[in-house]
Amino acid sequence: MWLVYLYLIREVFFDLYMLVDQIALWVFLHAPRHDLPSMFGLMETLGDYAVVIAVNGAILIVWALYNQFRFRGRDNRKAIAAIGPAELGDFHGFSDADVARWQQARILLISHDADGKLLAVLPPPATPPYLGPGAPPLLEGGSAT
Amino acid sequence: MQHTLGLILIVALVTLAKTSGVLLTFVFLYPLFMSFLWMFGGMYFYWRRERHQSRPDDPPPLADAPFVSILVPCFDEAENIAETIAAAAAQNYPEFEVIAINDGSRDATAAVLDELTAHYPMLRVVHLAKNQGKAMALRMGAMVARSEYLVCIDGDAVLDPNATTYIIRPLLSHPRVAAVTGNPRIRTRSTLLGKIQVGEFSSIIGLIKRAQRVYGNIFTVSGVIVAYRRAALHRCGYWSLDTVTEDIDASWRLQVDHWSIQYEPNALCWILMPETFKGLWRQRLRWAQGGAEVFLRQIRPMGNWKRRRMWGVVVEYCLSLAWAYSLLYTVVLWAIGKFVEMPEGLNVPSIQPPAFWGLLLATTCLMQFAIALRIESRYEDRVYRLISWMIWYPFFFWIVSLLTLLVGFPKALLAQRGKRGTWVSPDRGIQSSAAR
Repeated sequence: MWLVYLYLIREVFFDLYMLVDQIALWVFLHAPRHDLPSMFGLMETLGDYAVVIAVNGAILIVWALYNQFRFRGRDNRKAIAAIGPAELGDFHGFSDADVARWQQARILLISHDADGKLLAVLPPPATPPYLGPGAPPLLEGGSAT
Repeated sequence: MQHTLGLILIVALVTLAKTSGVLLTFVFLYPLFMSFLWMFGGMYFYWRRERHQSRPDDPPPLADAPFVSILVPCFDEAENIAETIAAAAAQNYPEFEVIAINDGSRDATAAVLDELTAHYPMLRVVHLAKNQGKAMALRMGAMVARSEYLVCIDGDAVLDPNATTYIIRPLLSHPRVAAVTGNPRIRTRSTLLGKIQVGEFSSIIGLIKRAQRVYGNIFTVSGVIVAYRRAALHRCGYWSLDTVTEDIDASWRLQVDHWSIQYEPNALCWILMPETFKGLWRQRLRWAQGGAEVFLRQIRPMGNWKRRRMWGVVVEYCLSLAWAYSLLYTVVLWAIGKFVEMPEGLNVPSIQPPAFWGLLLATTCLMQFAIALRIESRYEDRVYRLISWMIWYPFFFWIVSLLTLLVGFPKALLAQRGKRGTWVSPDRGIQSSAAR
């Protein structure tokens, strides 16, 4: 697996080797600039990239600081009232008494039509017991063989 | 509208392709510059919000701890649901209920849940007679919940004991906050794919969420752990029933309505992720398609000055889309050029990246991983072990992200509006092991 990875990134090692080689030529042998096109070309490119990156970063941070100071201690939106059974009933087309009753039930069975409209909310019929992973499959209607 | 927009996009890209040099530069430099933007944003968020915070296992007490409803929509989760309910029931929080919504499961989920009610007095169960999809399951949970504050998790997610305390805090402190997204951590790590995704969630997704919070809005909450203010959802019509990703949809609807969505990295939960290529592809394609669907629905009102605070997210999405299709066009033009003489401007003689591009990208990746691991070490012990697996990330996930975007966007363009998004249980990993 790691051999595959090293093969995929072999160009990186080649670039690194070339860069180190040119840096060594420049530092130790004081090679002239025109003999080191890769290294100086890379430095110029990195300089351009660094400017773009710095500008992007500065815009982001300035924007964050602007929002931080502009909205410090202020909440433009007032607290909104909590939603109760009346609003929920309106939304789903049922009465607030129905919703309040459902909110107290421990187990419910809900059915919808094909368009997703709520049809009925009922206490469920008795569900078959969970027999464990090795149990034989249940037939339709819930009775074990 | 969607087809018109698709046509405009194609014309724009073909026009851009006429300046193939510009396109090639954009293709190679976009990942580099975005990576640095995420790093800046991540570091600023950490410096401003996280470094003085308490650790996940030591939450400061809440001055006010209102009753909370934890919603657990599930479909065919017989194997995992008992563990999920046990973790939800073990929250270090004074008063709460757990509502499991069985979305027409075909396995023993219903029976397991009913039996669990005998063990957990705070557990309530809602059975949907037929599979309706996660969005409908959440709607039903929101309807029967007794609390204004809804903590929604997936049916196979294991909540950290202090997750509820942390995730509810921003909702209580600021009336403008409609949702708080938590910090999912991956527990499926038995294969290389699983280990790489751990690195992805640590080094990419966490940084992106932080950076997006810095510029004000986020692309999406993590549907696997998110808390909502019910009144805000009610105002926006709850989750759409005809989208494949209800979390992206809810995030945009809330933010378009000028609500705020916060990120709380201390609200941890441990999740299962696909460990096969097929499972991973299906999941990421669904995410890409869902993102595109939401973008296409919401793009028209984005021109309004009142929506300006969403422009950062919109621009970021557009750039990622442009990058994916620019890369495709560049490769296509290059391939055609091998057989046919191309006019100037459309000729791509080589797709060789600029000199030292590989070295630059590798260095940038390592910097990103180092920053992300430093930040994330607060939330996961020995996360530095992951670095040897994270370096695989560029090969697998940039390619997967690219391909899913290329396929997902046309799917969204051609998708039938109004078709219900029902549930398909994803790949849960090869072994589901406890995180701790």
